[in-house]
Amino acid sequence: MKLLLVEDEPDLLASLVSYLRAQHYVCEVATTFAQAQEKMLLHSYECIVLDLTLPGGDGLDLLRELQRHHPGAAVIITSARAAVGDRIAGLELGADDYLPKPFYLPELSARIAALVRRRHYQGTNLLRVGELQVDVPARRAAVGERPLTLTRTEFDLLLLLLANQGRVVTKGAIAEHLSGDAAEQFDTFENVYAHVKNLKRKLGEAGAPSYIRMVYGLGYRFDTSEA
Amino acid sequence: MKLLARTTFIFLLYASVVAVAGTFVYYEVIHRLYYAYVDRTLGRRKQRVELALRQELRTPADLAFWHRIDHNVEFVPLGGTPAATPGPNIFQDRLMFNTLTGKNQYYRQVAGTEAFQGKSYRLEVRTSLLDGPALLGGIVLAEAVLFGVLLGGMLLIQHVLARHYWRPFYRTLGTLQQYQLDQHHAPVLAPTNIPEFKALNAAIGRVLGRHQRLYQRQREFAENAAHELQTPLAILRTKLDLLVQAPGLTEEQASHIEPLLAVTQRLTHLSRSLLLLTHLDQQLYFATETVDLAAVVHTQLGQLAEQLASGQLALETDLVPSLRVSANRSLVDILVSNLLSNAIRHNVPCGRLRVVLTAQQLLVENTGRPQALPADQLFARLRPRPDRLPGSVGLGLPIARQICETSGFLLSYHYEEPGRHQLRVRIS
Repeated sequence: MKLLLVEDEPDLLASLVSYLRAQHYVCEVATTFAQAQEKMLLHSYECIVLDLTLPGGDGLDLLRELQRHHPGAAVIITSARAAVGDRIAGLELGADDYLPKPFYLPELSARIAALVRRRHYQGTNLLRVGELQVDVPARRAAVGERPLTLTRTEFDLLLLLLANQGRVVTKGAIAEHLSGDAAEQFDTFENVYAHVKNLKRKLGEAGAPSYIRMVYGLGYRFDTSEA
Repeated sequence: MKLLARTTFIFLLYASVVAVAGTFVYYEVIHRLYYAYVDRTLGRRKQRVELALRQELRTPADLAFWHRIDHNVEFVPLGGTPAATPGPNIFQDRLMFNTLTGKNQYYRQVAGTEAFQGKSYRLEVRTSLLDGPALLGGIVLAEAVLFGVLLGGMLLIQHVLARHYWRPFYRTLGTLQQYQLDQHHAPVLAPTNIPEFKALNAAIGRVLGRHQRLYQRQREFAENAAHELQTPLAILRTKLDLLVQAPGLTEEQASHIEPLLAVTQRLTHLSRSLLLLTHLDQQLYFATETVDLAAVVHTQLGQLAEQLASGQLALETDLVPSLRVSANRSLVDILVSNLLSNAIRHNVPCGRLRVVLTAQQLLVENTGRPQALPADQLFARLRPRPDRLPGSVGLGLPIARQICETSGFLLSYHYEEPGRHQLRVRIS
């Protein structure tokens, strides 16, 4: 899986590369408009993570050009320009997703995973993790032969954790994933605790090992190896 | 009453006073002139009669004869011997029967004693008088016509003035009435040649321009500040995300990281709120669609179920099954979420949350401190409030209000029963 990360802020880029490489993605980077332009047009990527404010040009122009040469390329825009207009323009120009800065790395990872899944396995993709089988398009999950009845939120939570296997997903990231960035945030995480508890209970009742672990009150990790 | 109409009215009021007074003045002057003329004419005629008396008339029969052919000359015989000198002329008005018209009418006469053939006579010479009331009537009529012409002229002049000379003023007024501070440019005031309006436009233009620049600067500052915060926050967040992955992370290290995560979360929320507020202030275009408010309330209540449970709050709802409004979906989500969150945050343990949705309004009521909150501070941005909770950013209600303004709703605070705080969104 080859990704192109377009980001001019070196520290942020380093974080992206570090996190996504550990997710077994091959990451190429571009830090300027010209670099990004060259790489985008010469190579093809599973997914392009595109920052809009770049030295040398506007990311939206890049997006336009990309759509001319590689229509249908998968693009996630990450931008500090959270202006509604930019978001709409980006999506209208063919971007698949828009992630306003600041974002959580697990969130980005989940979005990339979802996008790649959608692009590559149109409609038929069964995720197998340990004893867990997840049919993403149908939004069904099962442990072995025993189906799980998950609420929409619990299913979303499961997908987030699965997209970040073996990594700690912080409570904040889970809260934002579940409620969306539009929602008023509480500093307490009752929501997160309750949903994780329910998910764990349902997995346990279906006979799955305890894949989801809490990490020092910081967040949760989904790991099949530890179980 | 318009300024111009008011001046015209006062002017006409004065003109009517002058016209009424003028009628009497005219009457008096004409009356005097007329009498002076009549008296002079009568005096001269009497002199002619006296001359004829001395040279032409011979017998008393002649005197009677003169009166028969001219009724306005009469010799009235007086008893006694004539005085050595003729008596003074006596002018007077008298009512007499006119045989021609068959009416009594006023005459002006001059009378004096005359001696004729050793006998004394009173010579009366008279002429019929102009009818006084008729004169007055004529003058009043003339005045009325003049006044009418004046009135018509004034109204016409006012109309022309209003259309022509006052036009720059009304144009400036119209521009100001439509002016909103958050427009992108200060309004352009139409040029004019009238010095007063020129000065007015210049002064207004200066003030508007200054305000506009100030407002623009402040808005840009807020937007840039929020925007500039996003990238450092993004770095902070992603570094923390990486930090928590570190193998061999100890519990103590984790306990240091957790508050960092929390404040990063809060900073993020704050900068996003500020950014949203500046966008709302700029009245950027927010695409509207038909949103079912009832569904939004249900969804948001569902999201907040855990918060409700943890505060052991009793939820009462009375919602119409469906209420379609035309608004931006994200904004409506934020609005409802903010109102509900606010009502949960500021509730008391084991308190109540009541949500009522009718076709006209959304009402969110929570139990809370047993005193009314100052409504003006409730919607103030980032202002420290006595009831501000440590975790809250303090922009929830200002954002709610701004969203209402953008969407054409009306948000208001009500405190009608002790300990019950109501926020109402009037939809129509």
